[in-house]
Amino acid sequence: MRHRQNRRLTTDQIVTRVLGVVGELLITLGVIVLFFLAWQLWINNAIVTNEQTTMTKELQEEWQTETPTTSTPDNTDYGVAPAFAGVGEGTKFATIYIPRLGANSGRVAANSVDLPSVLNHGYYGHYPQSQWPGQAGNFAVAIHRTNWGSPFGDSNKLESGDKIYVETKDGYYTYVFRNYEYVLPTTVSVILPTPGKNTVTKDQSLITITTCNPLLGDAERLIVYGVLDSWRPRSAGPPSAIALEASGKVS
Amino acid sequence: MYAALWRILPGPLWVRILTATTAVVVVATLLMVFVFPAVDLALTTREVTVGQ
Repeated sequence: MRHRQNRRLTTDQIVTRVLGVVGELLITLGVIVLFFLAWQLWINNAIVTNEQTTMTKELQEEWQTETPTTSTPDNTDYGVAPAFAGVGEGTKFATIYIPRLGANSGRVAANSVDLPSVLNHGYYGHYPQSQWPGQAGNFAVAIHRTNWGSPFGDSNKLESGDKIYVETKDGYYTYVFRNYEYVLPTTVSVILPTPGKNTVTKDQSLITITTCNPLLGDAERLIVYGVLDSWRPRSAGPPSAIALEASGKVS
Repeated sequence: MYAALWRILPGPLWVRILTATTAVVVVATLLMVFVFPAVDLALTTREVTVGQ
């Protein structure tokens, strides 16, 4: 009997071994789930933020054809903002800065609101059917509220008068935060040329940013509205509030 | 299972440690680059746009 036991396994031993393998697989699965959570909460955030910072610098270099000669004061009047010409679907075209959200708030905007290819990479996604910066009407974008490298967690702490800067190859559009609105996800009227109305209000250029609400859910949308206040050409240099970040000196 | 895998690994101890560490890093990278974004999209999609 003893001899036979050594050469082949008893049922008990087989069960023990199988359970051992199953146990190890379950432990592995648990570790992977924890790793996924860490990736979602921290690792991916850091990766996407880093990608966005690199991208804002690259665009900055691409657009900076000549060094601004003098730094002109913020209140210099450059007249009516020219309308941005527009780009094809999916193309990067601007960097949006909201200094109230921190020193590293700049995120690139691309012309699409696709989740996997645009929003999940930390971009502001421009609703292709909405208008462009400087155009009369509504420049509407969407961005994640948290995770995916978003700086937008504190977006409900904006104060009236806070600036939203949109940098394009032509220059810097300064929008002033106007108000919030909390709406249902189906309220498409918020991105109409005049929110709520499908007509352009003469001489009015708005920015509308849609994001999710509550903070870690998506039952509602938080809408941030801003009004175009002024414009300065690229040759005049960036507005002082974003001068450090827009010249690639803050990472 | 892991004990058996460890026994299969060839070479002296330091080579085995190196092989095992490399394998873990490769698996972690594959997870982060391919698996997690797909799982993220399937499980925790959070809509931020308005639409019908």
